[in-house]
Amino acid sequence: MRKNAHKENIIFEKNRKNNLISFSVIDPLNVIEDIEKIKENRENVYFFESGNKADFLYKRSCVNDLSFNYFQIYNKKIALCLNEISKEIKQFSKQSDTNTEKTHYYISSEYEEEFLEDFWYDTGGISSPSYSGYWFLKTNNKASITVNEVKYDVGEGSLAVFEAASKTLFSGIESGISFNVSTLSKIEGQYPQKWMPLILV
Amino acid sequence: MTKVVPIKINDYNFVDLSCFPKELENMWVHVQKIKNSLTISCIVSFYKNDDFLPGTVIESSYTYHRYPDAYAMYGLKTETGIYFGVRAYTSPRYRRRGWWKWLMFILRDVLYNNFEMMTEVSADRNKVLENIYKKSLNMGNQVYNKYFNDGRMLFPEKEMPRDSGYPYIWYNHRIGGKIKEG
Repeated sequence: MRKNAHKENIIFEKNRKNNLISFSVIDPLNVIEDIEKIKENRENVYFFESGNKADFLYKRSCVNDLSFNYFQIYNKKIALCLNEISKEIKQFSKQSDTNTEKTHYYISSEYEEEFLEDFWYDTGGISSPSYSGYWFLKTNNKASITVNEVKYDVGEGSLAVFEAASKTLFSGIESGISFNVSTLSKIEGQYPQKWMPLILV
Repeated sequence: MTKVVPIKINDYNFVDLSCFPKELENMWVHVQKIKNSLTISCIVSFYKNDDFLPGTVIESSYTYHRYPDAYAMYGLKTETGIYFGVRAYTSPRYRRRGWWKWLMFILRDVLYNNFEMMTEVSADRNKVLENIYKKSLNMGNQVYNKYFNDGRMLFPEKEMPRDSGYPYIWYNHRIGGKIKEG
């Protein structure tokens, strides 16, 4: 007798459509620099116990990865990128007949510096209304992303948005921002502030 | 190699480890207690990265923002007081490294001694898990406790579902599988 795990696999395969995908380009001017500046920045923490001097205790990062969302960095290009993602999700919602008044989208993000080429990737969530994507910040001359067996050439600034749980392969990508878009009902149990509302424009 | 000494606590079999297993390299542990689920009680994720010092154990009510390098998931407490594992997963990047016999020691020790959860491997285990389970028992000089195995051993699955259990999901740039050469 096969149990739940097997049934979940069947549900997973039945539900996945993975045919929505879009590409655009946003120049990532100063984005890597701003990310690195924020990640490397440290505050010194001291404690004045007695005497005439506070003792140094430790250095602390100003960023908490548990709650950090890269779309909240103060950078015009990042703001434009978020705007573009919002437009794409609105378009996908129309194509997949998702009621945008009742669906509350949220977005999370990570900075990725490792894109293995001998493994394939996918992301959390199953098809629409969950979406994933990458904004490629540093690539070599012949970079590409393959989504569900279709290869697309990309370069620095390429923004790819597609349905979650797509089989994805990378070539020639050095760094980028990965992001996930999902709905309020699907992000229970996620760390506070890690996800922020995505307002559709 | 990390030394393993079999011990008894409240008549249950456990092991003393000479250190956090060196075989797990720079690994740390995230224990997520699940409330209000009808099927699962706990997800234990293992990460091989520098986010925390090796051997760190984080107890949390939240899902970590990175996809785990290995994880185990436990069902609800049974009438006998045991939490059975319902799923065990290793990233394709780290398979065949012999991690799980060490992870089993950590799971059983930490979940009981820190969180009062008496655990056992899935009663519905496949052949791969069965072999690892037997290796762990041999290393810990413990007796094979044959819980009824009601089926999956006869229907081995190559891949576990990627998500832990709705709505508890790891959203991330996660590795799905190794690309076959040629």
